[in-house]
Amino acid sequence: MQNIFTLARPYAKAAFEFALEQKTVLAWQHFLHESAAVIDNPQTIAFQRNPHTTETQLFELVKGVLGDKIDEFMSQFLVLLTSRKRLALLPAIFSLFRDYHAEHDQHVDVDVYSVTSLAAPQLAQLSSKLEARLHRKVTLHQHIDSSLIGGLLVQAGDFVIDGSLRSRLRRLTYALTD
Amino acid sequence: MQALSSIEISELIKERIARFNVAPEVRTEGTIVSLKDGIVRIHGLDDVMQGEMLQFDEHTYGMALNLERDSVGAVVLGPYEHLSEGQTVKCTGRILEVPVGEAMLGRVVDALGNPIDGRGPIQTSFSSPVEKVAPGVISRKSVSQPLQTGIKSIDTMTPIGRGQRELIIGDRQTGKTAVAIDTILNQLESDVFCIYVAIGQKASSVANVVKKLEEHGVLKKTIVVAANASDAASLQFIAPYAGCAMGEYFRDRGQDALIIYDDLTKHAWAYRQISLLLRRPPGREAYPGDIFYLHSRLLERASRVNAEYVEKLTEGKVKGRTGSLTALPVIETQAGDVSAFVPTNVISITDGQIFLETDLFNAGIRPAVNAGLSVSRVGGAAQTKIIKKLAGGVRISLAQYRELAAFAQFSSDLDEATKKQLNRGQRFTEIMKQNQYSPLSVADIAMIFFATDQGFLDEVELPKVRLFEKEMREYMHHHHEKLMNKINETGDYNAEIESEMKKAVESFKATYTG
Repeated sequence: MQNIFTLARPYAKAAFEFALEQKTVLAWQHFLHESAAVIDNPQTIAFQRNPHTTETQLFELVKGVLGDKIDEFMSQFLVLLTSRKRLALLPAIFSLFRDYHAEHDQHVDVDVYSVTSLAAPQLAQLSSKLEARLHRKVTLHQHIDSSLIGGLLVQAGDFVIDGSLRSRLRRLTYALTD
Repeated sequence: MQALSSIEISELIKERIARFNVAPEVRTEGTIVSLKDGIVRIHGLDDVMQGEMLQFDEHTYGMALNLERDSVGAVVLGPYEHLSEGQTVKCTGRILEVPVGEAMLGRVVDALGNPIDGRGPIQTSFSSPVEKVAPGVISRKSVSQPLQTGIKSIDTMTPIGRGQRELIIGDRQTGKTAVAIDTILNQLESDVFCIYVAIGQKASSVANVVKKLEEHGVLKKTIVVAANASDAASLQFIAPYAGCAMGEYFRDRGQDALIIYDDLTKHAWAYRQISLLLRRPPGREAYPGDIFYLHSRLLERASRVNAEYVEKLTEGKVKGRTGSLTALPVIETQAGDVSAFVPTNVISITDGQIFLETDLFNAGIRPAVNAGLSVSRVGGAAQTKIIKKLAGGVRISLAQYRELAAFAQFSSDLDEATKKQLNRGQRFTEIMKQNQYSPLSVADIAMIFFATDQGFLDEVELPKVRLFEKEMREYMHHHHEKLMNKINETGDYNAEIESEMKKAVESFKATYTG
């Protein structure tokens, strides 16, 4: 099976480059976000699985939900995807589009996991430190995870800084037994 | 009450806690997308390197082999049943390493260097990456010292030098492993360390080899690396590289080592399995495109390195000593077909081959070395002088004899010259026979070839030639120990030694009753 990201990449790249030329990146991202949400909806998934559903019906569904919020280029993009039976790729296209956008803006989304919520000065300090480390503008997304026991876990894509007590205890277990 | 184990000593625990790194762990993570037949596909891991070690959980490691656009293909080193989709995978930033050093000697280890002989952990502070680049042209020295196998037919016809790569090739059940094991046994008195890498063999066969090595007292200077038939293909794939890293430790410290890869056919099979499961395109005999490189990069690491290289690597601790790693790869052919893919590859990589034949084996000529097809491309320069002098022409005359013998079966009336040549050839064939697990010293080999050369065997009846040889050997060790030691030590051949040898053989002949 082909990786869906491999299939989605040319569409995402083309869409992003087009949006960049037209200076409508945010509008495109919004459009892709919404259409991806439509495809990812459990009801749509059930509808898709129905063997009698045609790609055109799916197209009409997406178009119907989005209504007149989209311009003719976006609609043309959906028509293109429909003709190639690739509407199901929309969530992957959106994810790649977002990555391209972040890369272009030198920006990165960082997930921060902690046991209790962090105070604003702490967050500001963390974000400035991370910006120095990653050489990117950073947007922090806070998450509460009590299973960490203590400390902090920072995740930016593949890159993980694990300073949690849970991880330290686990490593200590192996340092003692191994 | 629960018993206290030996690791539960406060001091030790304290030390381990003190050594424990409290800094936050920085890592690159990915997620397992699919898992089948020991092959894992991982999403993420954007910065992973080819051949990098990956960590699945605290005790499970893998190796990244396929770096694709949106996924990474990796093999799990060992059992993989406990892994599952969605589990995270960490990069380690390191190439796979195995422990090396003197402490490994006498031990049986798996492909990752973990002991499997039940004799406790191995105390060594050295480790070495399994994949290393072979020494370059400047660091090398040509092969000039002999590596005695103690097998008459090999030491005389296809001599092996230290740092050489000599292939042992033949069908199943022709005594390939026997040749390899005898060579290890003959290193009991020498300064050569041995590494025996068993790839895809039955565990019982490996156990037998270990038992034999132990019986002959040579296990203490041997490392056995075993990736058995029941082990994962990934372990069979890395076992020879791991063994090679252990051998390089000795080479790089100005010592001599011998490594046996038994056998590379199964190694190629293991690699083919991994490659096909990773969906690499199959080529000839379904092997992947880089099967040649698989073996060439392994065998290139067997080499003789010069003193400067050794001095540089040991930071001046070892001066003026060359190091060597001699490789004896084994290849199993199907029905004598040396033109199959893997045999031709390995033949072209190595510096010669010892070709063992089923027909000879069944005719009672053991070791079943085919004199015509066996060659040693560099060993001649390293052959002991006395053997070179006394047995120099044996290979050619034996090859000619075998051709002639086949031809002579059709005619009853032969001229004198042909009869003489046949007679000589028969005697040489008899002399070349040797029992398993009985390697001979240089002096033993020199003495019997001297006797044959001088015509002392001409009157001995053919069936009694081997008995004659055995009795002569015992006689020489009893009555001419000094001469034998002298030959073994120097390996020289001159008029003085010649006359002493002649006297010795004559005195034996006088006592020999036949």
